[in-house]
Amino acid sequence: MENFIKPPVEVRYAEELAALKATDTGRKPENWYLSPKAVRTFILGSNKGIKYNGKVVNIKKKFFGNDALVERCIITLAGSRGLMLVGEPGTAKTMLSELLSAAISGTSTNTVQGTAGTTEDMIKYSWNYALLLAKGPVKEALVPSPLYVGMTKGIITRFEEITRTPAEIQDSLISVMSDKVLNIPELEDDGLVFAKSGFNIIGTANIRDKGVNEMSSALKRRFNFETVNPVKDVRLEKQIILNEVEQNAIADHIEMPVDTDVAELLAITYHELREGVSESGMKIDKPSAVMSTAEAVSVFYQTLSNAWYYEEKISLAELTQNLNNAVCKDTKDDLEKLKAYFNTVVKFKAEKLGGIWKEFYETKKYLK
Amino acid sequence: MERILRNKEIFEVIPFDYSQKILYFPIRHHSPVCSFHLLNVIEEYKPDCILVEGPQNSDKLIPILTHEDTKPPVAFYYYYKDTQKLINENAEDYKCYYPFLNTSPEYNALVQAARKNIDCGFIDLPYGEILINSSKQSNAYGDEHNLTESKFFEKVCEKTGMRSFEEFWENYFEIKGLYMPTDEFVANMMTYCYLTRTNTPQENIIAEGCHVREQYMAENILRAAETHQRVLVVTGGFHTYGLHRLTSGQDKLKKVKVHKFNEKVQNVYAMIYSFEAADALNGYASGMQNPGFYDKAWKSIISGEESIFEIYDNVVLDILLQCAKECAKEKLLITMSDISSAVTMYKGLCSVRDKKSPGLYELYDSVQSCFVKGELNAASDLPLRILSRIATGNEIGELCGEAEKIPVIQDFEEQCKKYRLKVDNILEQEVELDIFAKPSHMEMSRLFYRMGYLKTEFSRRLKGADILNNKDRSRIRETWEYKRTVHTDSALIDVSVYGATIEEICKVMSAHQIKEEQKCSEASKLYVECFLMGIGVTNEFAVKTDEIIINDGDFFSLGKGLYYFNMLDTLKKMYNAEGIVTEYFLEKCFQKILIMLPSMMNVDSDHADECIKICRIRKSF
Ligand SMILES: Nc1ncnc2c1ncn2[C@@H]1O[C@H](COP(=O)(O)OP(=O)(O)OP(=O)(O)O)[C@@H](O)[C@H]1O
Ligand SMILES: [Mg+2]
Repeated sequence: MENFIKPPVEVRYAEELAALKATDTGRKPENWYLSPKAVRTFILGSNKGIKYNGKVVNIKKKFFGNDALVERCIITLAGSRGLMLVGEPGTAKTMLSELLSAAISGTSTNTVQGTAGTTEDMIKYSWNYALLLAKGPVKEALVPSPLYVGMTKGIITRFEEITRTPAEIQDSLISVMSDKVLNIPELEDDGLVFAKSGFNIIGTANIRDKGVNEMSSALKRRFNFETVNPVKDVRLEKQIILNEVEQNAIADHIEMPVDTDVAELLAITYHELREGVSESGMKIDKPSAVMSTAEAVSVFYQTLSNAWYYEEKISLAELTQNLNNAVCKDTKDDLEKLKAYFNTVVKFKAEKLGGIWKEFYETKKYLK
Repeated sequence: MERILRNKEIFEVIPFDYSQKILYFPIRHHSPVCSFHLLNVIEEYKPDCILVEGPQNSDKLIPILTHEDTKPPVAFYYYYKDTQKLINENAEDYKCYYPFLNTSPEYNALVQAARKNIDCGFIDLPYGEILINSSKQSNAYGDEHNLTESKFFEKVCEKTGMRSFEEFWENYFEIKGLYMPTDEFVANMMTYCYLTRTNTPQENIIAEGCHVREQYMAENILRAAETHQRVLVVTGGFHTYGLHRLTSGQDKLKKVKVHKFNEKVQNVYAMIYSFEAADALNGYASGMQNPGFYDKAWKSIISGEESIFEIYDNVVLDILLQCAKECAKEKLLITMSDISSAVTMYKGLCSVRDKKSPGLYELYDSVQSCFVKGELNAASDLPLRILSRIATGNEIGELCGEAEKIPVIQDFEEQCKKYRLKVDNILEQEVELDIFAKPSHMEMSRLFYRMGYLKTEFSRRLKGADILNNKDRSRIRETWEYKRTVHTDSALIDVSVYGATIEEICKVMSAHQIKEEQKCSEASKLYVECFLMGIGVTNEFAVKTDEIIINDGDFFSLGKGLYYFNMLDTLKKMYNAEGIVTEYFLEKCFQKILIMLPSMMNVDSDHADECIKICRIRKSF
């Protein structure tokens, strides 16, 4: 694990996956690494540990806030339709698609990254021109795409940010999804690649993205859509921040306790700015920047690593500066909104609750 | 939960065998599976007396409820007027509903009793007495929050991974319960209710009046047992343990004294009801959510045409198909592929969730995944809205001809007859009224205004003078459109506690309303409404109005008052309403406005126009 900056899910949770596989008694769809029930347990966790290799492996909950959604995703992937995760930025669409792929196919890295420059051969296949010239159109000369790999191996292909690719490129998926065949005319008789069972597609799309290409309705029909919403419960959001920051810290060998009060403060701040209303019902001008849980995690983590390398303990001044940078990167208006938030809601809490909120309010001067 | 529920040790706490002289059958309101097992018990136990939880003063309605022409959903409507201030100092009026659906165990028990000629009756305190003995008032009889929101249930939720009480109930009782022999089902019910009961603090039980009610019920049960051999007692499961302790002598029985009230103070009527009103999702505090869904399940249970084990699979599929059809009607095409994908979805979820059959939750999930295209938002959630409509159901009950009419409904029907209004038609009707030429037309206009004030959605003025908004004032005819719907009746019933006639109710309600008002603008508007309804205002009403004007310091609110009173002053002769006091208030408003006028020197330009308008009113008279 040491060798990765960010290890893929199947490496990060290798032990949990192995333990689940060893004890999995459920019926599996063909080519699935785990049964649907075990996939569910992997993502939603279990309060019973699993005895494996002489020790007890605990399966942690990894996706919070909507168990039913996860169950629906799993069932969708066992069927003939693709799964499309849509939602605001930072709602763990990518994370969920990685978890699903790792648990279902054993790998989460078979991925197409959608961009405006994505072309049809990046989705389907391209050629190694040296070989192509030497041997003509033969299978060896073909450079497989993640989609091709998914079909031939019977695993999941993840398609990130699908709506950023031009619509006609997206549409090249239609025939693959409906007939489960990829046609390679150059190979003539050998040119039909049939999908093995286990193949499916998980797409993700961000609904706040500008300049996206609306999916055609023909393509939409081949997917079940799941809308992933930001976590509604502040306590859950705090839990996510704690979990993620802890995990990142372990990976980076930062041995610093994660302060739960600060996590709670940040969770509340993000929650209130996102919803546009404070816990006590005060109206707040919402910043136009994305106020996602993922952003909160990264703000906290920056603060934590800064403390580890340069200071003794977590400083709220540092936290506020990181918050400032995260929120105000796009427009100046957001700075005013953040200041206003401090001057009303944070001030109110500082007076009423004191403690950490008072300290937080005193860092107001770093907003610029 | 499995473990807690499997054992039959509960029968040592509350016995359940057919040799008992008193046999308790615990239920949840409107639950099909409870009805299903209850029918079995009636077959097996062969009771010679069936007692049902319900206010005793509704006994007289049992023949109406069980009449073969009566079709649920119907409800008992209770009212109690606390004129003697037995509840508190406010002397308020109270009302509540007790709905009966096809799925209600209480309804099924009473119908069986009628068919088999078994003695039967309600055993709970009369409605007013329940109120007097509890510190909280609910608008629904048989509030079940003790069962559905208990501390104990939170633990169960954690253990079973269920997301809500409703989902837990459906899975463990409604569906799994169909697979169980009756005694096992009863054991589960009793265990769950027993644990809930023993986890509820005694002071809550007392505060809610449960305690006194159970004393009273136990007394009635014991009395029945003196003259019968096998007494079957059907009550909400929460009471079973308490009742058993009382009737078996483990707790001491105290006699409950009840007041004697005449029918003016306390009474009960049967009325037609709708699934929509009975849906717990609409805030109705007792019973199951989505009654339409469970009604379908119940119909197929009693038809006996399908295997019990396929009931929910079939209901879910039926409703899924119905939902697809109705989506198509609203121009959203659901393809065969969507449907088959939805079927795969609910079946798969059912297995991932360890359920025996899919239920409502799997149905909703599959529609959301497979019928909703694209991001889920207010523009795309049509399939879910349609599904929820179907699951609520739109059925409306029927009452047999013998049912006594609620006085205000009777009054309404008499007036409709008198003025030859066509209310047995489902089409909108139109009438033109020559209100100044024909006295009866003036009366009709008033009836329409009254019905409007009572929010019955019965009548709508299409043409005619709009006095409130000062439009078309010169028109001397009015054109109205009207139609009687279920809503008309239920809105009337809802206010029937205030009186026996529409006129009386409007009088009482407007008098209540004036007490709440603080602004001269609102008070004077109410005057106009009363004027249009032909309701004379009482002395108290006028005194209150006077007070409002004295205390109102808002120039514009007083200006509105000036305007309305001025108008009434000019109109009252024409409308034949000379009794109404207008000059006095007109003068009052005018004086206050005069005093405040200097402060309007600096009024901002937004309000200047209005200010000038107010000053002009005086000029006009
Ligand atoms: N419901 C949740 N459960 C667990 N973690 C969450 C949740 N919501 C947000 N997170 C955190 O936020 C991160 C989400 O990042 P991710 O990149 O998966 O989001 P995304 O939806 O793909 O965003 P984008 O639209 O910007 O691609 C996760 O890694 C996790 O730390
Ligand atoms: Mg992403």
